Amino acid sequence: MPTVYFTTSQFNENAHLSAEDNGVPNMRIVAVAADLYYRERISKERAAPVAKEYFEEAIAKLTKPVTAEEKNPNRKTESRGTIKITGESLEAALENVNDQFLSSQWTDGLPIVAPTPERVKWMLSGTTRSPEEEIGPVSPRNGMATVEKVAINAVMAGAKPEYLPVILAIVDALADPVFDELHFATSTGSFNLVIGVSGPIADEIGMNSGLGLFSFGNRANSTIGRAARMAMINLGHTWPAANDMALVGRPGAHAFPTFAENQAQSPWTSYRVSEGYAESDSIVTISVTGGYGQMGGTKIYGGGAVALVPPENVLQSIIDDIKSGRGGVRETPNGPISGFGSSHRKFFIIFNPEVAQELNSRLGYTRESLQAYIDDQTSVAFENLHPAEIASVQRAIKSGYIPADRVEAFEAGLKPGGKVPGLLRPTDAHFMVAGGIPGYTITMSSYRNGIYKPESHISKPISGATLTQAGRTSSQDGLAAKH
Amino acid sequence: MKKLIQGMAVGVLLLPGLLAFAAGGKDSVTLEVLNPRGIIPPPPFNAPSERVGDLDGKTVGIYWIGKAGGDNFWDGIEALMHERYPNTKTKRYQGPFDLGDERAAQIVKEVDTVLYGVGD
Repeated sequence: MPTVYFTTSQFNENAHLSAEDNGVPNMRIVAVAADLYYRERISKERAAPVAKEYFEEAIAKLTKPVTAEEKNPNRKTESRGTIKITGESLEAALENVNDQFLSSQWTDGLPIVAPTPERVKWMLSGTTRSPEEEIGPVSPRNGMATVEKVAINAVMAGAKPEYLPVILAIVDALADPVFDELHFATSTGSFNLVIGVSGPIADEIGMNSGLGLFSFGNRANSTIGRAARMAMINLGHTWPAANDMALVGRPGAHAFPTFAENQAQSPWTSYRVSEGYAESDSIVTISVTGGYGQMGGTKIYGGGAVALVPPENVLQSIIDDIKSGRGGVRETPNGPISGFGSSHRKFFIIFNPEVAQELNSRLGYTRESLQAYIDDQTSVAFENLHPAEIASVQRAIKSGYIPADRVEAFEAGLKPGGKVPGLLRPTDAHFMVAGGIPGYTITMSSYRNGIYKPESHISKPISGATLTQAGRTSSQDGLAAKH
Repeated sequence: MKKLIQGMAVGVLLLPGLLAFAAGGKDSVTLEVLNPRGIIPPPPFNAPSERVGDLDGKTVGIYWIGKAGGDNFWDGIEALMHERYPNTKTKRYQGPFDLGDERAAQIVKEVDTVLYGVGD
């Protein structure tokens, strides 16, 4: 079908990269000046002159015959495996490495450790996995992640070899075909990635799971999060204003927030066990979160060291926030689904230890019963649903948006006396215990389903470690990974 | 010279990727570093579809992803289309970024050529 693609000038490079990645590098594109379009789109009268300015170009691109040049693939050659960089002194050469990597869009703007072959070999000593192992392509540009490429990026990020199995598990998750790294990496919103580690490897490599869990000063937390960012830059080939279109950037600009579960102060079974792994396993969980406010972003509850806020109030505030998701509209291939039953969110809740302990010891909640309580309290009685919401839920069921195994629960809610779930699944309220005493409870939320791929929250087992006792094998080795 | 040899030793210890550390002068140190980029497997190549030649008697599809204000721009394009090509029809569509195979197949049946707008 002869097509002309319209974008704005701010997204022109992004459009060309996408066209190239999707096999139509010579797609005809009209780029409307961003400073005109966004200002003038406010009304028909103001938008009309902008349309007029680009009309002839659109007609020409619809009708002018395709040229021989447009039919030529004109493939680019692959870049070299090694690069030699010189300088008048060691310091000058290192500075040149940083300059050349940055000008090539291979780093994040902070100084890197030079990924020399020896340094990369040292990094690879942390895993039994073969350097040649192909993990999979990473969006948006589908660069192939191999164990060696991950190790190179881990070196650049300043990581140590004992962190590599954790970083590899993160890339296992990023490259999983069901995980939607494309949306968070490219959206105009500031969607972000948060990384949680559950399991004994966290203590062995010295991760912070306590006070200041998202703070600086811990090499493992900092460089694992930075290595994941480097992976998105160099395996996904992301770059600001080229294909990472976050209008004000992302909170994980240089390192995605990374923390460990505080199992020692948790009253509940570990997160990994709740996800079906063995207690002896170590896993990473990566979760898309709304940054700088999108989709609820990151919220903090409780009084910390300052105020007295009972755990009941913390829990009620979380429930109220989950219920506030009513009214979203989601475009689907079958048309928009609006009202309750659409745009479901998932929540990554980080309970601080004293709230978790009170919820358990005084209020009697186990992990499972708390999840069930949140599910019940965030469901809405049929009698309280607006007719448009009922229609929306019906449309969501009909379109296939509601998964087959959840249709029964949603249909049961569409009857007098019934309740329509606020979460697509009860387990979409994920929670770990982390932070210190005193602390705050945090919720991080985003779309439950990815925009481009099914999942926005996924866990992977850590295995193949050589330098720690934990993470050498996983109970899931040889099995399909959980998500 | 003794100082230079000490410098070389420290440099080699600190940075095994050091290939050369000649006695002074421009570019006397060479570092070998590995390329961090994931190789992008080339996707199958598709040339743009052959164009319609002229729009007389044709139907132009206008696909829009529904972001605010875009309809005002497309109303302007549609009005110009009807004004300058009175024998050309237009058909408007709205949907997500990725219209999906089913919708794409439907549009292919209904129109001769498409203007596809994402607005960002």
